[in-house]
Amino acid sequence: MPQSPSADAPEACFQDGSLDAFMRELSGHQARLRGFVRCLLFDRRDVEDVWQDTNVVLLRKASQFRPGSDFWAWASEVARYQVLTHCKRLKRDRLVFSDKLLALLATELKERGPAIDHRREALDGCLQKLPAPQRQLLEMRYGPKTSIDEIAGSLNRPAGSIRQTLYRIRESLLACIERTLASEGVR
Amino acid sequence: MTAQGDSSTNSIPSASTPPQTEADAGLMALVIDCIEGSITPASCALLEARMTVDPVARSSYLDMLLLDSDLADEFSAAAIGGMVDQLSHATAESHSLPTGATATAFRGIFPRSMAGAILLTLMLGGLVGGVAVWMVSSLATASSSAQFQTLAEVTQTRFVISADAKRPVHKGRLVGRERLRLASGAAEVTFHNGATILLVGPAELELANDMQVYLHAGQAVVRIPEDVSGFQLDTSAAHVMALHSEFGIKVDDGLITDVQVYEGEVLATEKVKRASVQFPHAVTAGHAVRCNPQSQDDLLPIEYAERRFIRRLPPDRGIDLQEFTNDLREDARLLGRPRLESIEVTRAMRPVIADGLLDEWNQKGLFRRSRHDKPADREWIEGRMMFDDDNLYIGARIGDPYPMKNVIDPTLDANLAWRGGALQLFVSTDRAMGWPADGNAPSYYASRHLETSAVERARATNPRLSTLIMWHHLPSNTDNLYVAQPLTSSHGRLNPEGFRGACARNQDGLGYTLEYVIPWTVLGAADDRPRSGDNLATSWELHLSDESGKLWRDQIIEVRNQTEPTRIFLFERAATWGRAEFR
Repeated sequence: MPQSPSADAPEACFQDGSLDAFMRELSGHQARLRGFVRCLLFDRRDVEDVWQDTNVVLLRKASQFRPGSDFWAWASEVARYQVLTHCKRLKRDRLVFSDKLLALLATELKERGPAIDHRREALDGCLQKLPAPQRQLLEMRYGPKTSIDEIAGSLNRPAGSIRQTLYRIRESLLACIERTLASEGVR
Repeated sequence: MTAQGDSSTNSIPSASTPPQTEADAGLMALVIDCIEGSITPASCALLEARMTVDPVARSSYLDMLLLDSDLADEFSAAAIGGMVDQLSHATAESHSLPTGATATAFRGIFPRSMAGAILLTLMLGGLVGGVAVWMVSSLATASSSAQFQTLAEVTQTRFVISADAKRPVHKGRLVGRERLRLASGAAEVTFHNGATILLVGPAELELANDMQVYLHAGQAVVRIPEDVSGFQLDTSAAHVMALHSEFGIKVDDGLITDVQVYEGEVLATEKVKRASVQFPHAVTAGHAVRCNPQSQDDLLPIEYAERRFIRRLPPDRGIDLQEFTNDLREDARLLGRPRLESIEVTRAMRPVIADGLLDEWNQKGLFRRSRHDKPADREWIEGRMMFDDDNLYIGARIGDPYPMKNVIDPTLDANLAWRGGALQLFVSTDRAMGWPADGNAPSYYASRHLETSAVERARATNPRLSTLIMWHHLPSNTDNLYVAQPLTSSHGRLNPEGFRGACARNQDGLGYTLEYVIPWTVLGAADDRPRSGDNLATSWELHLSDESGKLWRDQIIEVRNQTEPTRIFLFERAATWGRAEFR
C-alpha cells in the first residue's frame, strides 16, 4: 500500500472487504455497462473506449461505493456522463444522438437493470439452438476486423445479402429471447 | 439457411422470416445502419425523430443494440470475460504486489488488448499515485478513436475503370478525404449532406470535406440540395461557390475551366493570374463561362450547351424476383405482357372537358392493347395522354364485360380500389431525372436481399413520382382519383383539389370511357412543369374485376421499359416504367 495515497487511489478509504465487494460488483456489471454504452454510441471503437473510460472512472471513485447500495444506478450514471463527454468531443466529427434522446435511452436502460442480464442469459440458450451456418456467420461478423464486405468476398455472395441475412439472424435471436423470457415468466 | 427445432417453442425460426410491417422494417433498417456502422446524417435524423416520440421504437432499438453488444462479447476476442479477468487479477494483485510494481510486471497477466493494458496501467497508477499514466491513457484513447472519416459514398457507376488500382472506384465505396481517380466511365458520389457529384473520366476529384472539393481534371456535374449552402469547388483556374444549384464543370489539359449552370446560381471567381484581385461573378441557369489562366480577359461567357455534360446516370439494371410463380400463365397475369416502350403525350389543342366523351382529343398518341392480343378479346384499352401548362389529361376507352361495377369504398379503401376494376397509371414529372426514372421500393430491396443506402431510400420518396388510381364507384355514383407515392404507398390523397374526372358507360354495356384532368400541382410539379421535348416516365395498368366489383381477376399492362427484367412489379421500381415523350 502506498504511504500517501492520492485522492484518486481506489483503496484510499476502503474498509476491510469493501474493495472486494466493489470489484465483484464492477466485474458483475461489465456486460450491462458495455451494453449501456453500445446503445448510446454508433461506432464500435468509441464503445470500447468509453466502456474502458467508464471502468477507469469507477475505479477512481471506488471509495465512494458503499456495499449494499445500488451499484447499477451509480455505474450507469457514470457511464452516461462518460458517453456525454465523449459525444461532446466527437460532435463535430461524427454522428451522435442529441442529448435529449441520449437521456431518454439512458433512463430506460437504467430502469431495465437486471432485465439486461436476463436477456443475455436467454441469448446463451438461443445461440445453442442456432443452426451452424448462422452461427458461423455471426462468428465471422463479430470476429476480429471482419467487415461485411470481407465476409461477402470470402463467401462469394453480395454484401447486401450478407447484411440481410445477419439482420434476419438477429431478428430470430431476439424472437427466441422473447420466447425464452416469456416461458420463464421473466420480462 | 433453414430453421431447426420446434417453432412452437423458443427455437430459432428461419433466417428468411420477413419483417412484420413496413414501419417496423423502416425502423429496423435504420437500427441496422447503426449496428453496421453505415448510418448517415439523414438516417440518424430519421432514427432520432422516430425514437424521440415513440417508446416502442426506443425499446426495439435497445433490444437490438443490447443484442449486438452481447454478440460482440460472445464472438469477439476482446470480450467482457477479458475485462472481468483484468479486473479480478488487478484486484488480487493489488493486495499482493509491492507498491513500486510497474505495468511491465502485469504484461503476462493482461495481454488481451491495448485498452486492457491501459486500464491495468491506470489501476496500478492509482495504486502508486501516478499521474503520467493518464496522459498515456488519453493518448492511446485518442489514437484508438482516430479513424477513416467518411464524407461521401459512391452511389452509382457506369463503365468505370479506376485509375488507381489500390483504391478502385465502385458502387457502395465510402469516400473520405482522398482523391478519386477515374480512367474512364462515370461515377456518382453522394455526400452525407445530400450534395452529389457525377464525375466523368478521365478525371481526378479530391475531397477535402463535405463542403469543399478540388477538381484536378475531368468533367463533373454538381448538384447541391436546397438545404446545403456554400458548397465550394476549386480548380486550378477557378473557385466556384454554389448554393442550391446544378452546374457542370470541366477542367481540360490546358487547365481551362468551363462552368455551365443548369439550375440555380453559382458564384465563379477566377484564381489570381495577375496582381489584381479577382471578384466573383454570378452565373445563373442557362449560362456558361470560361476561366482561362493564359488569357488576360476576365471570365468569358461561352455558349450554353444543354447536352454538353452527363447530368445523370441511368439506373442500374433491375434484378428479377427469383422466388416467383414459375407458372407462365400466372406470371403473365401478375406482370402483364406490355408491348410498347413509349407513348407520345401531345399538347392539348382545345380545352378539355371531363365528360367521358373524348371528343376534343388529339388522335395522335393513341395506343390500343387487348388482353390476349386477339380481335375477339372482350378486355381492351385504347389510351391517350395530353398535356398543357396546367394539366395532364388522361383519356381511355375500355372494353370490360363488367364495366364501372367497382364497389370498393373510396373513403375507406381507396388504396385498394384497383381490385374492383380501375385504371392505374404510374407517372413521373421529374424533369431533371428524365427517363428512365430512378427509385426502388423498400420491398424491392427486401425481397431480393439487397442492401440499401440512405440515398436509395430517399429516392423512393421522390414527390415527383406518383401513382394514380381512377375509378367509378358504383354505390355513390362518383368518379374518383387516388394519388399516392408509388414506391412507398404513402402520402395517399383521395380526390385532390383541382382534379376533374368522368367515366361513362358504353351503350352496349361492355365497356366505358374514362376522361381525367389532373393539375400538375397534384403531381408534384407545381414549380417545374413538364414541357415539349421532355422524356418522362409512365406506365398504364388496367385492372379488371369480376362481376362483384370487389375481386381482382386480371389486368392489362402497357408501356414499359423493355430493357428492364420482366419479373419486377411497376410499384417496385420506377425504372420499369415506359417513356412518355412530350411533343
